[in-house]
Amino acid sequence: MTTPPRYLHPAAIPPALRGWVLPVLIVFLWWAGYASGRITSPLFVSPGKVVDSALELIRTGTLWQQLGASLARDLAGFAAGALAGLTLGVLLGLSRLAENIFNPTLNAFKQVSIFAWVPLISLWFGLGDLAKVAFIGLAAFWPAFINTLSGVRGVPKELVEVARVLGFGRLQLVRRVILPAALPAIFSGIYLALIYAWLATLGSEYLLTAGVGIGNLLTDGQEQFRMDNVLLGVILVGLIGFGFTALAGGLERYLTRWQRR
Amino acid sequence: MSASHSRRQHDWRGVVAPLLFVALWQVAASAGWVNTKLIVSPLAVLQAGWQEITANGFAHALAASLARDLAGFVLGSLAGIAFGVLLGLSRWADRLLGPTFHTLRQISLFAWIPLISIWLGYTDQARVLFIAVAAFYPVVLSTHEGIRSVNKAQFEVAQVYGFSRWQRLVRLVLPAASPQILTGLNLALIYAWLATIGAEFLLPSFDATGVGATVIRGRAAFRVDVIIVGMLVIGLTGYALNRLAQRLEDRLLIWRGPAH
Repeated sequence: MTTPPRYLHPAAIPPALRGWVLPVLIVFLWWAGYASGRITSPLFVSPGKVVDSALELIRTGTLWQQLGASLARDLAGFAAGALAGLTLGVLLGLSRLAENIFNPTLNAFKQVSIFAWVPLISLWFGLGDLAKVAFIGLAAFWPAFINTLSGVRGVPKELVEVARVLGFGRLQLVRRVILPAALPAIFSGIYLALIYAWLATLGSEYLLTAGVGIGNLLTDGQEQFRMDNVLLGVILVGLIGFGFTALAGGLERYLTRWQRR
Repeated sequence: MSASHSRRQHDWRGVVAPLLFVALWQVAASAGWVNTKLIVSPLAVLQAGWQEITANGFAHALAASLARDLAGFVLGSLAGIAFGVLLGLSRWADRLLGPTFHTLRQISLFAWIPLISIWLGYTDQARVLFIAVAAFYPVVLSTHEGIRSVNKAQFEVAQVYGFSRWQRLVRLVLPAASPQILTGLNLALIYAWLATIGAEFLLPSFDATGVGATVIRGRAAFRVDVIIVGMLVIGLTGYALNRLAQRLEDRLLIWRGPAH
């Protein structure tokens, strides 16, 4: 860490608590604005109301149902997209010929913004779970593919030569040399894919509106002017995104720990 | 489409796959192997594209989307640079605001949609705000990072020369951090275009014009040809914006000398 410039003195608040100052202040102001009775807009609900509606949704089981549906969709799309991206990335990374033939096409497809696929997906697959998983899979595919490709391409030539000298077979070469060497790049791809997939899960629930999910909690709340449900949804989405990021980061550190030895 | 202009040498084999793909697509559609309601032929797409441009004011729609994109991008990146500078220069701000910012960053961009639409309605302001939020995050992160990486010795030199706060910012911090800031702006431009299409999908209104709105109309009318025309234009525009940003970045950073 760099030392602070002279004109700023670190706060007297203990470091671990400093990050909490602003959130606590915001919640306090939010509550104070409510308690003072000054703000009467129907769009303004108290923090307590949000907690109440959360408890209500938990009690009726609706929340678990929605959360479960979203997460299942997210994981299915993530698994499909990341696996496809990984496979294709390794394939194109290993074979010059395959890369030369397919890469320009894939590059052209990559340019099309992910949202632009929605109408086509909805025409082909409807508005149900299949369409959503296809959309999420597409979102997860690109980062996994791009990073795997560049990781495999970036494996030092010397390593491959040594493996050749040692008489490694093709499969051995891939499993023992190329994949481990490309692992950090692959992981940053998977990590991005996990985050994109969650983004896309929410997007798919907005755009392909059928069924249950956290996205539907938000859209329904918006339609019914239930600010408490909207805010609850926003908080939940943030927490899950945070959880995924932490999970992926931890997993990445764990699986590439041999590199730091 | 024409990656052949890049520095890489041209490889004709890259053209084979797309051509084969389009040919197969055309044959499959005209021979009736597929449901032509769901998969229209490339020729039909070309026709639809021509019709959209000549009769339905497609250029106007594209201009509306681009204007929105640009407005959101400028707003978001200016705010992003300002906030990034604040976080980068002030330990206080970083400690107090940083954690909240990083938590907010985790909130999927889409979660903002209901809030934005409740606050601003299905208006152009709402769309521009959404685009600005999308552009904001990458700029903050890269600006912060760029400022953090400014050489400490340069600060000391600035102190010796008695630079004022403003001078230090304009003469030292911003130029030194400009490579990272430009990277962030480049990313923001890509995100902003993505968000432009997203905003037209997620915050629709019947009187809205734009490429995304055209695609939605195609969807409602079950016109796959119009949808594909829209997708092509969205892709090409994104590509063009990206190239433009890259050129501009190379131009602006020419003072650094040849890379590596």
